[in-house]
Amino acid sequence: MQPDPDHSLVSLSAAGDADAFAALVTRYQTSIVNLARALTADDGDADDLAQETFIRAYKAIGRFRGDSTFRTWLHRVAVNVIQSHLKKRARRRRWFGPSLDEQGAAGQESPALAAPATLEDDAVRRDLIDRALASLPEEMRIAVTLRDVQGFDYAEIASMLDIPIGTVESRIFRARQRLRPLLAALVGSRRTLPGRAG
Amino acid sequence: MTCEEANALLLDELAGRIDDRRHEDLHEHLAGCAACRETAAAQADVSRVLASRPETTVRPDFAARLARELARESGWFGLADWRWLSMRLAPIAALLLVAAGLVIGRQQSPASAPASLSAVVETWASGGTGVAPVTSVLWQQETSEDAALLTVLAAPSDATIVEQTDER
Repeated sequence: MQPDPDHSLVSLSAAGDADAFAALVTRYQTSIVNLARALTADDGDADDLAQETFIRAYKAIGRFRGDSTFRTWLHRVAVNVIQSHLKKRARRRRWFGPSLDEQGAAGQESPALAAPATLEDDAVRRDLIDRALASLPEEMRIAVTLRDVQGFDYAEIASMLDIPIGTVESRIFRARQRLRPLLAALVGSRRTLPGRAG
Repeated sequence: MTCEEANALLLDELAGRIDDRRHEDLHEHLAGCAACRETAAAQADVSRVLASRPETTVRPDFAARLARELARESGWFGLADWRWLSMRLAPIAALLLVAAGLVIGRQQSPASAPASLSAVVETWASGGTGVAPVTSVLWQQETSEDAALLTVLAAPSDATIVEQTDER
């Protein structure tokens, strides 16, 4: 395993150094907010869930044993927080139906039909991608987001989700097949940079 | 190679776990199979689109709000944290236990030494009294064989003889 670049900040944080923990927050806040946004497709929820993630991490950092990197551990905490939120949201929807905000989002046009002229706009592209991800079953959404949006490798995702690596690969493979038609409008876009494929 | 086998190899290739020979086999299959070529292209396309997802902007006050929340959590709210309590109160609890043990130990009278078998036998043989009645021990559910024997030996010998005589 590679040495953890966060090791010294983590040690100081575990000893109660608030500045060290603040440095870790600065380093990872964008990643955690984006993970939450991609998995919930909701800006307000993403901010709240990211806050909750850091609060839990702060409380538990003394028990971080260094079996993985801090980055992997922190994202595992985030995934747990987000999964718990998604379960509550699903329960709420079962009992009370979608909220007014959610009804508004559902009334928007299909991602695949978004006007090409707007696709260069960051917010539109992001929303289109997040809505496509939201159409996936939760387990596929989490796996493909961790891989393709966050850039974790298969082994890290398997460790984070506590599932075999073959299951991770299979979920990501199936997720991409499902997403292909939903993201058709973005595939040929000039903003789609050549990047990771795998 | 079947399309199913090709998909399995494609997974391996995407995970970077394919050797040269299998890589060649896969691409030989892809060259002749439009469906698998489409699958492979879809995998690469989606991966690229997702990797290009524009980042959400974090609210400028994110860190400040978090710091306030953490200060509140580790302030008086932190007192309710059982881990905090158990770690800090454990030494005090241990001291209290030791002190309680010492006080109780001083208050108790010195325990009488258990009667030895020979002493009891001697008492029994000389017809001595002052020992517990046989039944008080025999009725106890957890009486050991040794305790029962000691009690029987310590009981007045004539009582036993009378009982045995009656049975006959």
